[in-house]
Amino acid sequence: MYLFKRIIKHFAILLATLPSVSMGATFGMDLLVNGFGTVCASKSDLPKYNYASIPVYPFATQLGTVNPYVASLQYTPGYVGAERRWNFLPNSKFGLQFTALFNDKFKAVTQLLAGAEIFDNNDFYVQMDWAYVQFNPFNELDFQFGRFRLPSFYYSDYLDVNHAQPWVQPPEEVYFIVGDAFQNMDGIKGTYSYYLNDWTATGKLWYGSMKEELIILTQNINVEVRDVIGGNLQIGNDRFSVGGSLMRSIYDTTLYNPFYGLITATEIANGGAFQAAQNLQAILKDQDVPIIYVGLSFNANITDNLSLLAERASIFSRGIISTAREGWYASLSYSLSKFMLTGTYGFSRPLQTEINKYKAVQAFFTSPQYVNTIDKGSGAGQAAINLFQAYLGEQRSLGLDLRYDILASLALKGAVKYIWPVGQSGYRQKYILNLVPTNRHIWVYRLSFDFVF
Amino acid sequence: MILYFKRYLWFVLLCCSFSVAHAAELYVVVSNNLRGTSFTQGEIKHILLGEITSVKNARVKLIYPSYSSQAIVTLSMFVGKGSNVRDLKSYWSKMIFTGRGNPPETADTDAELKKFLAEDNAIGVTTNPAGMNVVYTINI
Repeated sequence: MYLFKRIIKHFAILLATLPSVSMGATFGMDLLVNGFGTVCASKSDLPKYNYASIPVYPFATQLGTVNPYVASLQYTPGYVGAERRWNFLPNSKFGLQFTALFNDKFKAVTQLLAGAEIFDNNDFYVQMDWAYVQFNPFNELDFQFGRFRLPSFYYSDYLDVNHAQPWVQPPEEVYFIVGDAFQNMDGIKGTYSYYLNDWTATGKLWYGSMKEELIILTQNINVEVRDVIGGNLQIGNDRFSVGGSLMRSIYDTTLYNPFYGLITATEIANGGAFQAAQNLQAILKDQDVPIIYVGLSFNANITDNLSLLAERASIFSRGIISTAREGWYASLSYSLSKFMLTGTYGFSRPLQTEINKYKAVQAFFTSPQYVNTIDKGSGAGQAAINLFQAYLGEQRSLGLDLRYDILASLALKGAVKYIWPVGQSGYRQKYILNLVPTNRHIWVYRLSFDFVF
Repeated sequence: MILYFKRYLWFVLLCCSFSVAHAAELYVVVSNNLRGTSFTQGEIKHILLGEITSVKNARVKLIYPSYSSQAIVTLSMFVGKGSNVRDLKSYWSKMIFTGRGNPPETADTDAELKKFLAEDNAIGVTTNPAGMNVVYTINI
């Protein structure tokens, strides 16, 4: 809560120092300020602490003479920010948007988003989600040049505006499919809308690149994504809408995987390359890796009070830091005056490409070449296999969200979600999304105030 | 079978029972420079949703009634967002925070509305259009 107050304070100072709307007018333009925010507390029944077995290998040239070992690492498990204790930080945020209207055809938009930095304690981030110049040659067409959110799925381009959504948090099965990464892009986006009576068809095309710094197993990894090209189409009227999106990009990383040295040392100890080592090396090479996103959505207003939203998302990538996974959900919302009740059923599973990555890891660490010359009964190989198995998490979930609109711009929401692992037969440990180990089920509770202004 | 049908009927009735019928008239009023301009129902709808942003080659200044008024419910139903203003508000959040639309001004009284209409290219709605230029009547 302290951090959230700090965020609000910094934004208040920023607002106070901004030129007012009337000052904007003296420069021949109008300046609009809008904002949104969420104060969200969440908890789950996951254990307060958990332990992970981390394989530790000696320096590559010592492998074979010095044995690897397994270190136990204590960590706080969480399901998309929901830990054992009620916690405000991971899912609370505050956004400010500034729009400068130059004339009838040109405008510039900047959107700043602040939240708690979950990887560095006692700190917070302020990032620029949107910063672009927009040109509207005519009503139905606009072009955006600069930085913008990727409109991959139904809510993607305003995902942080929780007030506009029925849930406390959007279903992870679709919106957490690649974690929190790869949501912004620098480039150009064109939007064209066609209106026919009550029907509207909106098509978007975008092209550009993005950079992201990820933290994977305490390593900072720079990811450069280039040649991002995508499009989406949504057709609908007052009663229903259907939409689809497709995006392809290519990424490179600066990742130096410690397994490279291990594989090389194993090959040297065994007098040359062998199949399992070559297969793993090919998978670890995260250069020029294509990623394909596919999204489908269906929205129907069944009656004035009852609506249905269903979405399916898939991502295909052979790279080691990305994933190959699919997920879907269906939400049924019932409105009664200022209340809205939403029930959601979701599913997420890894695709065969993801399973193949795991099998390549497993094949190397169980190969006689590795087991006999490097592992020597230390259990480090099995620990490495177990770590990679976490990416095979498969889950089903049931969620219930209740919303109460205190004011038109302020909503109170509460949610309960029940998640259980499925599939993964033959594994001692089962996982759900966010690499959370659990063999039974977990409960997640969330409470939030969402606002816009 | 009859039992299932009864259950289904009960469910449908429950869903529909809270769809309050709002028999109301709402008038679309404009600035003097737009007086006499004719708009189709579709055009009015897209203007009120911020999808059509310019008329006569100039940016439209959109004026909504207060979000706590009955007029906003009628407006929401007319533009296809249902009788719950929450959906209209969510729609505008989407328009604003994806950069596609500029938020409408809000006029709490007719006097405020008239003040906005004194500027060119302003389009608003009211239940009491006395002394204003009406270009369209919304009947729900």
